[in-house]
Amino acid sequence: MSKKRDRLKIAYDILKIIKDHNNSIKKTPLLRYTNISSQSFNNYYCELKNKSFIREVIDKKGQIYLSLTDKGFNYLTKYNQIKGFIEEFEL
Amino acid sequence: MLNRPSPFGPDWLNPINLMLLEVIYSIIIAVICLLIYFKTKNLYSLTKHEGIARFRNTFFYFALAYLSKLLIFFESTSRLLFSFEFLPLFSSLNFLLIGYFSMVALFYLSLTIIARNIKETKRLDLITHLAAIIISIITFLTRSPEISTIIQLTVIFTSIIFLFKKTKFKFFNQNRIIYYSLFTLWIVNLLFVNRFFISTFRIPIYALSVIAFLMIYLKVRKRLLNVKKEG
Repeated sequence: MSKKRDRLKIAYDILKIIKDHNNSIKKTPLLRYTNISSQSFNNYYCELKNKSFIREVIDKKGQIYLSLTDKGFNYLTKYNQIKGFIEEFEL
Repeated sequence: MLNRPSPFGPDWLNPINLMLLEVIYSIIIAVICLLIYFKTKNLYSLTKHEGIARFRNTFFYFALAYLSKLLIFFESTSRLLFSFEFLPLFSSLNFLLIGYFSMVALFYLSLTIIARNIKETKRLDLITHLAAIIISIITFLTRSPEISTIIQLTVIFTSIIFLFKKTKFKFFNQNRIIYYSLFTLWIVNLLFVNRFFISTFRIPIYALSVIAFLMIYLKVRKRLLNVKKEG
């Protein structure tokens, strides 16, 4: 499997985990669920945050929770489309 | 008195009709290419996937290349037929532009075809544009469009050989046949620039070109429509 498909799948998995946890999860349990190294996770985390797929929400106790943005939801919805397109045109 | 065949092709293909044919053909190709480019915009903006970017850029630059070819046709035909120069200031620039746009389009098409089989894909965009600029400048300065054609043919054959070595008997599939058709048809299209003597084949070649681009557009459209229905 090419690295590019892995990258998209991992991003999808991270976003799906956030969505499946009522769109609110802390960073540490998210790292545990994604089952990738912490360095890789931090890279994906920064990328997803910089590209506005996820956002940080700070509660009254000052704890940071992660949730999806509209763009993040859009990515989840269109993931199969993206994957299918890449496969169909062998990109 | 000998009946000489018209340099423009069949009798009905007089200069005016030929000009009309060129305009309609070039616009159809450019529109199809730009439709592919814009329809895939959302996919790229969501993923920033390099393969999708290269795929889109291929058709964006093909659109520009076909439109540049049209301008060259206007420029050469107006001088020959109507004794005036259409866009005289742009005549030299046009050859530079068509060289650059077509080289970039073909480089991106090659990368679209082979990128899955190469490991290092960073800086390829920069190399693509630099190589295209250098080749088009050399072509322009030497006044030898044949150099550009030879390099483009070299690009095609190199990608074929590379891909065949990597994929062996899985070389042929529908995508690659269409992609290499786009390559070949573009090279033949270039031969029509200022080459009236092969006008007999102009219409079939143009029809095949439209069909090839249309096949890709319809595949893109079908893929995107399918997923709208799914979700």
